[in-house]
Amino acid sequence: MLIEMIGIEKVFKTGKVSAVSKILKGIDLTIEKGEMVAVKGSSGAGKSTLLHILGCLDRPTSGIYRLNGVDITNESSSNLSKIRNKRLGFVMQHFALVEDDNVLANVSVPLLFAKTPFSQVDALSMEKLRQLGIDHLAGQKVSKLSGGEKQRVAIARALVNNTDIILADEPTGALDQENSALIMDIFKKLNLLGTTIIIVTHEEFVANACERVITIADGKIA
Amino acid sequence: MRVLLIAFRLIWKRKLTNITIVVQIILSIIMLAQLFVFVSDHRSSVRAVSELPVSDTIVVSVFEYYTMEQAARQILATPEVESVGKIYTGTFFYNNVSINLAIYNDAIIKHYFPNLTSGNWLSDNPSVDNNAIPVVVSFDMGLRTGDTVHMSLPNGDAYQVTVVGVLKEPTQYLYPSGSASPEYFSARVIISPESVVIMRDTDLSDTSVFEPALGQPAARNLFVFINGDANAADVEAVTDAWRKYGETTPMTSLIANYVKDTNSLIGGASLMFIVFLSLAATSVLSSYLTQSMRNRRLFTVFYLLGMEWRKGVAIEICRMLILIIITMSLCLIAGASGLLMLQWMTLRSAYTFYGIVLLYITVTFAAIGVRFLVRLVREDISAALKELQQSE
Ligand SMILES: Nc1ncnc2c1ncn2[C@@H]1O[C@H](COP(=O)(O)OP(=O)(O)O)[C@@H](O)[C@H]1O
Ligand SMILES: [Mg+2]
Repeated sequence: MLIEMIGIEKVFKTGKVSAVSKILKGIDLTIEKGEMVAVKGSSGAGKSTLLHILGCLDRPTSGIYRLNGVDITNESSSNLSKIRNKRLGFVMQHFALVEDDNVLANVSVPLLFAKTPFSQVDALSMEKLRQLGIDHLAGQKVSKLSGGEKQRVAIARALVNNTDIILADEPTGALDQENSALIMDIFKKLNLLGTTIIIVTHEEFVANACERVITIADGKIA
Repeated sequence: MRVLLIAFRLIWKRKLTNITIVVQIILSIIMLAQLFVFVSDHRSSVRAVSELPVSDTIVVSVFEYYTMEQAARQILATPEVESVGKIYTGTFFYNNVSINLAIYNDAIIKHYFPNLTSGNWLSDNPSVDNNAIPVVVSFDMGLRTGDTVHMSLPNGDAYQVTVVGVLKEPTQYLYPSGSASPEYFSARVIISPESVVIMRDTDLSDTSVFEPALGQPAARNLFVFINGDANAADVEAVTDAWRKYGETTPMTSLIANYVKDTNSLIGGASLMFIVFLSLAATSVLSSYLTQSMRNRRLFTVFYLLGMEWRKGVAIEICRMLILIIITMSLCLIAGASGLLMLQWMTLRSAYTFYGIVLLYITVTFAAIGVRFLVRLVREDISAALKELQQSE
């Protein structure tokens, strides 16, 4: 089992007073290595919140989260950072790229945090760009690229540390149909190569492209 | 080390903004330097003025149609008068450089004690070699107590002088050129900052060969020293009577006026500076703040990619320190190249000035930096992540 969640709950403080709202109310979830999973649910259901916990970006209020059988619920933030850096790749709806840097610099950032020797950084980044067919864009400023190109840069960045899990939050949300199809194609190919992919979406065709669909409603998996 | 590298990159990334910030700060520091020189200049003048003989001294600014001798003789005839101070002015050449010459009569020497760095004032009747004339010189002439040198008049007459005392820096001494009426009185009228050789008129056989320095008007001021036991009403009456010889003003009121005017001048200049400084600071703060806010989004992206949140704090601290160091170094360079007018300051005020500059730079950067840092430290990461879900 790659991912195992037991009774995950997430409570947010709302407003200034001690008012709270429970967004996740006990999520039980297991995902095997090599799966391609879609997480569906209406807007505000808690999909992104769940993805953030899956991605070690945020901590659950209660519950247990195991990665490769290891309980990381109470792992130090330093170790969680290392997990994010080495094992998880994020693809966000609005790309989360550094818009005023060029493509190569953007793709290299995870290598910088991985303390990869400087001499290897460019070569490794270029390799991923080539793999995604956008190596000709390496010197371009991100802000000059189209949405489809930006998302491919984001995927290259997500893969650059040879990560084995991709977490995507509405990755086609800001793209036209053609580019959406292209991105889903890339995910499919990566999945065939063994990468585990978890995609948060509310689009039918994205969910249909995945072998397994999870729906969140009322803070639980329906 | 990567933290430092990222901090440098962030500064480089927004180089235009950062250059603008640094230039703005340096410009306000150059202004600060001007104010500093202006203020310390006035403060030293106020100090010099406070050394003037005040007790029962009346300054008479003699009208052109009386000679100084006539006026002095008439005034001295008044029983309330103890003595009349006179200063002849002239020029000396020393090493081919022209230097102001101030010749004091005994009355001045008895009542006026300028600050010395070494040696004695002329009232101590210093004994020197037969042929030499005892003199007190300004510090900047590079002479020391005991030195005996030759100086000459523009007409070529040579004099052997022995230094008996050296004035304190910055040079300030009684040098009454022009008017001393209350409206025009400033320390500059009665206190000169130039190089000087001071001697007693009694050491000279003939003062008529001395002429005012080039471009300097002849001294028109007499310093009238009143007897200690004279009563105030009588003094007022005789002072009124002297109005026919010239304008009369008690030294105390000249000084009071001067100090008052100087203080309001300093106040005005400081106010203007504070307004300018706050404007500059506001613009610096706002562009620094914008930059910090943009870095916050950047840090969230970095967090996503495996940076620890507290590394972001370290990067931000480094960025702040680097900017402080760059700005401070540029200030030191500006100071070394004379832009900050440090050459007009004493060593102590130059150090004080640099201290103020460092404080100003640090406070400016820290004001926003620290606020941003506190936000960053207390940040609820899920809120930052939520913002990342919106487009930039
Ligand atoms: N940091 C936060 N503080 C307070 N409420 C939050 C925070 N993040 C998300 N929420 C709330 O939790 C709910 C679920 O959000 P989210 O997981 O983003 O939903 P979605 O399924 O649309 O991705 C929403 O009502 C949202 O307002
Ligand atoms: Mg969402």
